[in-house]
Amino acid sequence: MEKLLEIKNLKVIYKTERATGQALNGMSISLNPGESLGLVGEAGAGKTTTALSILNLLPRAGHILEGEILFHGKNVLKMSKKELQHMRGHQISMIFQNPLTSLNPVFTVGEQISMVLRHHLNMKPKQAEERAKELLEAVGIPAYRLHDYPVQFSGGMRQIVGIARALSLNPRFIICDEPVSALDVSVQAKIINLLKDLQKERNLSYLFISHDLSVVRHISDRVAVMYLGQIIEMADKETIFKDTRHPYSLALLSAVPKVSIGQKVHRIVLKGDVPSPMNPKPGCRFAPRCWMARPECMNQNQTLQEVSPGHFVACQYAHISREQMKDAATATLKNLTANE
Amino acid sequence: MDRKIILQRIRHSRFMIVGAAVLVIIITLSLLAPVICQFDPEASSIAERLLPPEWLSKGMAGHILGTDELGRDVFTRLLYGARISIMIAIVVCCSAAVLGTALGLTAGYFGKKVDMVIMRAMEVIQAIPDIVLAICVLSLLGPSTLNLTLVLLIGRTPMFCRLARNNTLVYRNAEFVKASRSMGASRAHIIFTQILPNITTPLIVQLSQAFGSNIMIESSLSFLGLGIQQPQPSWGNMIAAGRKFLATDPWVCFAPGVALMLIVLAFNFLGDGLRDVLDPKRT
Repeated sequence: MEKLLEIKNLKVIYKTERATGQALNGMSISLNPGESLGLVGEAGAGKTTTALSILNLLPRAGHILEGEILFHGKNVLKMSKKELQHMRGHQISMIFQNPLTSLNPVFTVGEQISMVLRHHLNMKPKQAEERAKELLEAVGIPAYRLHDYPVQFSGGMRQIVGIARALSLNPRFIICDEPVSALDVSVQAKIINLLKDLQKERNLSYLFISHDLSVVRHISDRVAVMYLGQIIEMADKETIFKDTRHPYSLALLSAVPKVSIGQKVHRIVLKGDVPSPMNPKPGCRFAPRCWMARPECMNQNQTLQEVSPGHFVACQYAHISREQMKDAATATLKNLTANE
Repeated sequence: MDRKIILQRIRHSRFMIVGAAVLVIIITLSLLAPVICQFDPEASSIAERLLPPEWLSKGMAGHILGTDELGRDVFTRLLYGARISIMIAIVVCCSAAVLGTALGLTAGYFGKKVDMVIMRAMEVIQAIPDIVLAICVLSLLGPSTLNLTLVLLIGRTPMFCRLARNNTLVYRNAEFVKASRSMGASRAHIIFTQILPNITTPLIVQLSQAFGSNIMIESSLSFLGLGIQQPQPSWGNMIAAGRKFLATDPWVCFAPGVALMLIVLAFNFLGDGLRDVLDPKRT
């Protein structure tokens, strides 16, 4: 089957007057049509950089050093301006994190959507407004709100308008950059369900970026975990939650709050902070914080290896089971407290 | 924006109503000057020099605000003077607003070298006081309405440019700009359709206040003898001419002085009112 999207060994740096930081360091993912891929990781892991690279919309400071991004087999990085403008909106569109700022405050929501239609499809104003009304109704916003301004909507409603706008040119692939992070939980559920329904109706593919694992769990078919500009583990949803193989993913999963009465939940607390992306050290990037790390981890680069079909891990301990890894973590933690 | 909301806001904005009313009165009077006034604004009649105001005792036929040192009717000259002042103000301010906004949007959106060149040029203009620039140019090229307009245009442009540029910087990296880029919008669409409508409100307010200060500067130049030349009437040269008689026949100076104050105040009121009325974030 032809891949919808393939990112191969992408390296991106951000160059400012003061310093140069590595945002993506050999990032590779692929996405099948109709699939949704969850991309998780903490702040600074390169999730948004990946998203912007796909649209070739990196800020000025961002430079792509190597790698390629193939969308329907065409390299996005080599497209002409015309092709790019056609691809954005028609084939790929994006939903943004902050619904309060992602709509232009001077236009009504109807205008925001019909503007896109008129610009791209040369629709007549009347026709565009009619279509905008249909789109808003499709995502559950009543038609009479067409002439309201974004300030008159709540955050969740505005995000829904954002979704309607992203759908306006009927793209097959939508990048969701933390679409629910700024919303409260009940609204999150509404938006996630809407996205799922739309996916079913329109056969959409999502790249769903989030740092919230419980959200990702609901919407994704596959999940990729990022750490400092690299994918460190990638597998289908069930596998990644039940058969975690990378220590970082395990720590990340243990941080998800769970309600369990009368039972103490063991959390793996990592020492230190995410290292600076300015001067990347050789070796596994997670090694300085990893409780499993051995001296050889510090100078040996880790690449993604397939441990079982479709399950990729970048760790030399990938063969160790989740339980053993957890025990090791508890042991280290105990040692640490004993030493103190 | 919704027309209904704007009308409703105008109704509640006293400043705007007062400002607009005064302006409407002044502009209508000056437009109707040939109909209202019986006298020739430029023809002198020495026999009638320095007559005190007769107010409305003889209706429109008398010298309502008296006569000046050459026997010309002050009220007539006041209305004809308003015509030229307002016309220059409109031409200058509108073209300065368009030019300045275009330059400011360009500088703000493209940044870097473009920004550098445009903004340094604006700073050079701003470093020279308006009046000094005008005195230099008008002394060199000779005073004429066209030269006056050009000089004022140069002097007015930087403030629109700076205002437009600063606000463009605010919105250049706004998320809705990114969003429209991600929907395949072109550069022109982003600049003119996404950013421009967001920065117009302060520009409109600025424009309205620029009208006031432009009339002020034009009057100052005419006062100094560099703007509108006698016998053509202008508020500035009327004040200049009346200065000599301030102690004995104050009306010659007072009438244009008060008119000047009123019109500047009216434009400022209008500007403040517009700012409130056009605020898109007001709920």
